[in-house]
Amino acid sequence: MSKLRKNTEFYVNLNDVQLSKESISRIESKIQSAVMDELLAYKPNPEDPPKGPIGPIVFIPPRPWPGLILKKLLDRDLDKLGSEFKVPELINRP
Amino acid sequence: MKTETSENKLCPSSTAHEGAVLLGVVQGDQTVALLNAGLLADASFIAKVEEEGHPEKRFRFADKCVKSGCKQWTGTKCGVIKELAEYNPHLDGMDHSIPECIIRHRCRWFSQEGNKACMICPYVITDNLADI
Repeated sequence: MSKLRKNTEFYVNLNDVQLSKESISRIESKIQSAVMDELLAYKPNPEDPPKGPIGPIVFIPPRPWPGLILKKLLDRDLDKLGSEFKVPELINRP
Repeated sequence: MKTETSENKLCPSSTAHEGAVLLGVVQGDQTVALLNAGLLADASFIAKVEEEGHPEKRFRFADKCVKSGCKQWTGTKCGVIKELAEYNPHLDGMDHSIPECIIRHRCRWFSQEGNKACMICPYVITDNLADI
């Protein structure tokens, strides 16, 4: 088994280890879980200087981005909307 | 032979839900660092990120393009990248390196606008609405 680290890329070479498919699957799952937990905890510092241009200058329209599309309403969203909230399309449906 | 059809394209700016691919992480400078490994958002991740609120301000997710099931669909195209491409005409024909991307071969935006979409993509935050 050998380990290699290159910046934020981590490798563990297990080629010589006789691992079962189940074991490989558990390793994959735990790696994914660890990475996801760390990303979840990641809080970018807005004071951090930009890393430098990552591409050409791109302009984003200066208006709220209508990105939220098919978002499932959560209980807290429904609380904000109030109990009188009805889905408009359903109100007039016979 | 199986061919790539428009039916199985992926939206690179989807909402946070179980089964979506975690595509990128919003940085302090408001650009998105694209991940080079396909991490599936599981129920636990979604529950935690929803608890903190506004997951689409912090992360970019990819999932199936639902075309007319999405209000951004113009009838023939994705209106989001169409608008952004039109807003950035100076990128036309620009020969610039594009970031590594795990979904490019199935990306709706790339299939529609080519490399130009990939130049724009790291600047797109799915939810850019101001906090209420």
